[in-house]
Amino acid sequence: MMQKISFTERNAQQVYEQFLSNVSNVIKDLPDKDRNEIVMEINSHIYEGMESMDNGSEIDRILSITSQLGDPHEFLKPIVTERQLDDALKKFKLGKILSIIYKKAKTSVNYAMFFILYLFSLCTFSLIFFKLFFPANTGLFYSGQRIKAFGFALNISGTTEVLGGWFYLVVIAIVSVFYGIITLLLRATRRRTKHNFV
Amino acid sequence: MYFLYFCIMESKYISNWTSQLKKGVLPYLVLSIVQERPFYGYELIKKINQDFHTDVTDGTLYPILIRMYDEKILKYEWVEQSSGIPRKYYATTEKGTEIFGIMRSVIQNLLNIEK
Repeated sequence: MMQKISFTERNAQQVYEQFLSNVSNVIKDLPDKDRNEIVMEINSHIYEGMESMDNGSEIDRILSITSQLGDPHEFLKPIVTERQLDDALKKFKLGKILSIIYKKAKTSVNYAMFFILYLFSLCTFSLIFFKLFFPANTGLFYSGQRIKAFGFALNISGTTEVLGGWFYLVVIAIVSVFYGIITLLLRATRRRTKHNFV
Repeated sequence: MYFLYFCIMESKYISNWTSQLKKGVLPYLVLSIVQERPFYGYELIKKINQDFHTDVTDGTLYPILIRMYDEKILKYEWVEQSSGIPRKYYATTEKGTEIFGIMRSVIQNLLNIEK
């Protein structure tokens, strides 16, 4: 359990509590260990700052320290995003991966490409719903000995759908393999580019 | 009027460039300081600002320290204090010392080119 700092001035205590609460709020989605480490480190920073300033009231000192640290949302955001993405990639959480790489895609061509690949796998997965609602027009269609279409097709005259109920399993298998490959590729790319410090 | 516009644009460009440069050089400054002995966060930030006149916002450094730890360039240890609030001491690793050497030669080469 982290020991908090006690202030004699009430308003200084409030500023301190509010700042720690903002920090906790920004990092609330991180794993427990990371959360504790960050809060303890910020707490230690504030304590050392208060101790090193000889003069001035507590409120002046705490305000100076917190303004020097900056807005927790700003300075902790890079770490929160990186940790969340690492965690999501490790646990294959598609929703989380998509929401983070969508934000990153705005400033990085690399992430934009991965975002498109993930969207493509989502679109492929949606074929399951097409099969549910338009069973005759969705599947693997053969014409003679050649594959005519895979997925949803409007014009299916002269073709035979060969998968039937197996279509669901085939789609799930394709999407799983594709999703797995993209995620592993993204993890590998991130491992290579993580050497950027800023 | 055009001259004023040019001055504003130029100063903005220079200020962005300076900010990027300072951020970019921070891992090197951190490594150069912790070669000497382990430092805790607050002490490290003050040392950087005092020795290198960077005026880096304190909060900027923590994500960098965390990334350097993730990269195994730095290690840390929590050391209990009589106040009850422990300090997190950062020290270089073997990999960190190697990387520091490489960074130093890169910077030296760059400065030589400038000459």
